[in-house]
Amino acid sequence: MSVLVWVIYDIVENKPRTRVAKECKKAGLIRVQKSVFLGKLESNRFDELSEKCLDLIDEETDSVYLFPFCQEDFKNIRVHGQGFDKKLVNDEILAMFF
Amino acid sequence: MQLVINSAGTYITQKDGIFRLKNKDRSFDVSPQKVESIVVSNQAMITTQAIVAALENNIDIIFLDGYGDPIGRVWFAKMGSTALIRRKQLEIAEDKKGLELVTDMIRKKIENQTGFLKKLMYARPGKESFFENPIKIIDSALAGLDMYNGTVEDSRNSIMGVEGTACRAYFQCLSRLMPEKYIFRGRSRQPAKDPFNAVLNYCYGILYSRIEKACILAGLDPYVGFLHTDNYNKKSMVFDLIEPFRIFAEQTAVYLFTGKKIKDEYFRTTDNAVSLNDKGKPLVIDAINSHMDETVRYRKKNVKRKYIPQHEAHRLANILLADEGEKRPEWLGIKEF
Repeated sequence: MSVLVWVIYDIVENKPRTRVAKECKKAGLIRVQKSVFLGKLESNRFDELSEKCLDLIDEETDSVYLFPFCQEDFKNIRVHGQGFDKKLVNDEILAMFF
Repeated sequence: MQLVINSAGTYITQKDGIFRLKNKDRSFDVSPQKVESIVVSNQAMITTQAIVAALENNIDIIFLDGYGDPIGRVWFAKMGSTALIRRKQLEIAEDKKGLELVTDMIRKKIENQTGFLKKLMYARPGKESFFENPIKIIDSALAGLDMYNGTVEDSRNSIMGVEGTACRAYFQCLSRLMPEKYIFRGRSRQPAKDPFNAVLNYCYGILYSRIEKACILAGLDPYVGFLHTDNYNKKSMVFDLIEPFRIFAEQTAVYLFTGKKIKDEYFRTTDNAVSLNDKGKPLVIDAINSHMDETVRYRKKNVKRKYIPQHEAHRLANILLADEGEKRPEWLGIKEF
């Protein structure tokens, strides 16, 4: 089972912040804003990412949100200005030509 | 997704466990989690770290030639599963069971052909006369398949003959459905003589690499076939096992043409050869990928077409492993039509 996820964070120190960003990228999420990631994950990968983020941050000062949401909601997303590629985020691109 | 490298001079590197593709000022990062395979069909550079990252994540790197045929692949040093399967494969090739398996594969292939023709026929009311004769020819060829016994060796030529007869009728019938300027005369390979064959060959090429992957994962030796004779570097097993699945490539090619998605500018024509150019290839790859990504009914489940060859390869391996007298598991349960 895979699930769509928003990951949003506020981290004070530089080092853990970059580590969290790297973990998100590694998990296959796509950076949509400086501290916002979006993408589709297997549900056990979702748990894995959540544990990793918990390890990295300082719970006294930082916060990381992992929001799972459904396809229904994804359809209703509205984007203004510089947006992301909806198909890429939703794993609908089957072949990427480069 | 499938990463297709088709612009010259692309660098494929790896940074922090993520693939990075770079070409002049274009760059694209992608996590190995999202990549299924990397297909290189043009000059590119790939670092060893990127290769290792691909191997670690079970991603195979395939190199294609201009016709879309796989010329090589990077795969881990080990074959999947047990060597017993490969040993059995050799034994059965000379056995009665080998013949049974071969006729199963060819029968399924021919059934797929009539199934597809009938489906096309129902979609074209009033044109039944186009189809009736070819379907009759194919059906009577199919009836000839059940008579063989002994080993594959004895009946190889007659099986190939049945297959050839069915194939000719099938493609003649398909040809008449094409838009007028794309009507073709029979199959042609290396080189293709017309756009339809060029597209079909390219689709088959992509399918080959998928079937080969399925063979390796199931522990089958791609080089030891039943019907197709062994030869230097000939992937006989792949050629055997692809038969029931060829329909996926054929459907893709036919729908591309009947759906009027094909334009003359997608092809490069030389003296008597036609091949896809850089505009045409992405279209065809996209088409076959989305066709393989469609969900169909398979063994009482909804399964994407791309997973079916893998399931069937595993079933074949299980048949090879089964003891004498043990009830043979059913296989080739592809119910497309």
